[in-house]
Amino acid sequence: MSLLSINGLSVLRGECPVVDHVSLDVAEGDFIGLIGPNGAGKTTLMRATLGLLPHTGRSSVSSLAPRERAKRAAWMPQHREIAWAMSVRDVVALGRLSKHQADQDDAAIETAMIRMGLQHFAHRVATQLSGGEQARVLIARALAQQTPLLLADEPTASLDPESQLATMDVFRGLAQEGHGVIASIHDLGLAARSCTKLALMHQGKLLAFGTPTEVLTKENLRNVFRIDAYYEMTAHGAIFQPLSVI
Amino acid sequence: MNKISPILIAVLILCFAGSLMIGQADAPVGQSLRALITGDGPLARVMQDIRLPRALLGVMVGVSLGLSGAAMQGYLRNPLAEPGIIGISGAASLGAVVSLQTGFATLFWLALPASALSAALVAVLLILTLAGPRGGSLTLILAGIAVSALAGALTSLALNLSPNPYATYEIVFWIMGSLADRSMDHVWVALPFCLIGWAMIASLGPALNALSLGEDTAASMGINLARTRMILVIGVAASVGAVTAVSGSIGFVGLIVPHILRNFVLARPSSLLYASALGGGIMVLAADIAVRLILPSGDLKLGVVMALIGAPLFLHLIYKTRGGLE
Repeated sequence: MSLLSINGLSVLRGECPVVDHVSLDVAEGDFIGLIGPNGAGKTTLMRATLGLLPHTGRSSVSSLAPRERAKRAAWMPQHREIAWAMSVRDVVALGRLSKHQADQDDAAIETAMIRMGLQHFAHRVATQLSGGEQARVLIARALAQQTPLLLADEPTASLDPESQLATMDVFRGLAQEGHGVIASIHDLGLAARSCTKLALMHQGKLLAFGTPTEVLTKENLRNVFRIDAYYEMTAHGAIFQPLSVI
Repeated sequence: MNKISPILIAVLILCFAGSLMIGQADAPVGQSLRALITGDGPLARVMQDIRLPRALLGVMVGVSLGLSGAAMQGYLRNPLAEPGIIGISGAASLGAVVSLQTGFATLFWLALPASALSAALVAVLLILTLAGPRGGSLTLILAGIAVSALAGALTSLALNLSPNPYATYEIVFWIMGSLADRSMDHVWVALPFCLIGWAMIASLGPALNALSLGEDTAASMGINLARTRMILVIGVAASVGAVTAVSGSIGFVGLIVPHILRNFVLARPSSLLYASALGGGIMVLAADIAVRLILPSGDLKLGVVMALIGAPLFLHLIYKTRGGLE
């Protein structure tokens, strides 16, 4: 079942298209890694999809009223902001804002916190945690929103290897439970290892979409990322190693 | 309601009672209360026509400034924000100054507050037009700074062109802010605007909570940013414009009170609204009592005392919390 349908979506900055007629479908069980070089339009595509930017074309989420959007998709921007010295539990509880139901809120918050390993952090001040721990708190906030879709902008940026793998495992677990996840990821090895599909963006266009093996071809890596790389699917998952700049 | 609210309510009631009891006419508490309720004799005139409006205005000024300060800090996610940042109090002051300078204020008692409120309304329209339709906070700050600077420049011009030294004194004293010599008419003029403003700001609790995580995240959680900003600007303008119109410009309350109370409400922006409203009322009433105790026969201005209390307190708070702010 399709959770998100994007048709011919474009975003203009002045005269210049930063996202150019992108069409994409996200179904239950999809964990889509949005890859591409800096400035390819990944963040802009996700923000427009959520209705956070003016755009042309259609997104099945942005066309909804703000409250309905919040019930359909949760969003984790790259910039991690927690303005006040609130407790971890209070931050996670913000995820219930659009879906507030007194009899279900506590369970949703607890589940999200346990999933992100935060059960012992509940009363800690969120702003006093490390960057990686704050990232986990914000992911838990998004999980507490209990939406069918989760969009995350570089969720593993500035995380240590353990936190990166743990984060990707959480997203993959969500997909296996029937959610749809889109995450922009710069680490192609991590994306190839964890995502069910990759969407390769270049200069605002969706250049390739498919399984990691279908997308991470020598030709795409050379044309888009301007690198040569070693890529192999092994019993332990995909192994990707950039080798040289062209 | 959070844990600190009952304490704040009790202190506010005490300060209100103190404001009613303290003044030049030194009468026992029981006699003052009887005079306030029964309304007979000269003491009743003092209680009903001088002290009651003064105490009520103290609460209204404090609640408006405290509530607006907490809302502005929550919206802008900045502990240094205060109601004056969007230029409403500056514009209301300008309206009052112009009415004093031109002599319009002497035509009828409502002329001065009406001028101040009209100027606040013009400022709101200007700010919302300048800030544009999309609901970002940066454009609001920039529009507020522009309106504030313009209001300041025009106030200076009005002073510069003042027809005589007495008019200048009158303007300068008015700008300093005071609750002295106000009547129940002033209360009735400001109260409807205050109530509307308070209700609008109080409705923003969930939006301010969501904004703790940034504008993008708040929008993705179903918060309509443009609507939030419009309610905030109109709510602050109605309440702060109204109290500035009847009391003059009183600073620091909206800056200091949320700052002091933030930790007591676990930094939740929605809880801080109510606590700051009560805390603002306490601070203004206490300062107005201090005005009467420090210089009983003189004309010490509330705005001056507020700044004398507020500035050192603010310095102390910055010193104490500088580690957390960096």
